[in-house]
Amino acid sequence: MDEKELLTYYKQTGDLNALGRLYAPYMSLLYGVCYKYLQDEERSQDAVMQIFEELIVKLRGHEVENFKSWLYVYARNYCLMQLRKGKKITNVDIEDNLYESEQQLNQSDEEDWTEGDFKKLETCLGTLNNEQETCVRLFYLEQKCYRDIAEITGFDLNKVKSFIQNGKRNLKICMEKK
Amino acid sequence: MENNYQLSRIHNYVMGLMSKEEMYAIEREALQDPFLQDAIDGYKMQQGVDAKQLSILQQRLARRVETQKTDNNRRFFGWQRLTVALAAAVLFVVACSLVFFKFFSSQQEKKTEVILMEQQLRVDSRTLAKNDAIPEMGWPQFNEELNSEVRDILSTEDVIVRFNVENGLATNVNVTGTSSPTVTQVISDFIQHKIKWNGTRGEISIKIGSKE
Repeated sequence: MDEKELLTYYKQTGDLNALGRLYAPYMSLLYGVCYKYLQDEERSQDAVMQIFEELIVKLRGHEVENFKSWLYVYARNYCLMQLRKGKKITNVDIEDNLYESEQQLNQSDEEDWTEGDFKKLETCLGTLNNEQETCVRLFYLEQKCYRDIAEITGFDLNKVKSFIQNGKRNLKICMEKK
Repeated sequence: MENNYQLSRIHNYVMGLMSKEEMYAIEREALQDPFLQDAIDGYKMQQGVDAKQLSILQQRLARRVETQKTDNNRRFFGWQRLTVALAAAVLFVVACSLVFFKFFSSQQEKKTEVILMEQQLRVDSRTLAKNDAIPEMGWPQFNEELNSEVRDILSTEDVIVRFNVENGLATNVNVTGTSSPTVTQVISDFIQHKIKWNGTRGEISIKIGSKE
């Protein structure tokens, strides 16, 4: 059974076995996500199990189209709720999170490009600030990895990542405007 | 398995064990997939993937899935089911008792009838000499019917009844030998209206025994 079938099967029968098979492949990713927010091994493990417990109830009632992205949003919200409950202040980069939230909204945008689109891209690249433009060019056009870009430009590795993420976002806004 | 494949990739990426091309590929993928990006960020913070933790997690999940069997049993006797079962049981008992009482009470009615029929015969009637009136149903039946007619008379009686028969019906009924008008009334009614007679003239002696 594939994911979709497992979901429908679980919704109909409530068979935990099916839900377990659906959930298990994502546990390592989920653990990583939880660790990013909770920054504690025990809490992250418990969170992964607790999210499973909540899915037992949630997935019997909800219609879920794309399990993977649904699960990601659910897990992230769960972790943020945990943080809010514990009143523990964490430094989650607001830029990162902005970027990621938008990412979920526009996922399938690999359309065919026309000549005009490429020209538009060039002008839009010009509107980015210098750091973003350099990083986006190096990443998307020259296909360099973050570490190479960091070496070439002398930026910090984490900075490179957010320059690319933000550059990509700005680029997209610019492209959609024109 | 997608899971382990991704996991070892994440591990290699975080630990710097990848070629530049592989690094580029996973970075590109993560830009499209915030789930993967967050997981990478998390493992980077943890400084690598700990396979032991993850196998513990897998075991916890497996145990949790296992418990459903006992869970199911518990739910089998859950309050909802018990309520439904209780309601069904009550309905069943009510239905049974309705059927039973109906059956039982009609049985009792029959029994009452039987007791009436079995009541001791208190009446003895005989025709006196030189008279030819005979009840059409015969004396034994006559006695039995009269017996049930006089069930409300408690006293001992010994009466003589004289009458003529015209067209099978008794006329000029004359009851002697009792002081009770009720007895006179009951007996003359009975002879006049409930019995068909053969013959022309009747003179019968009726003895009613005491009620026990």
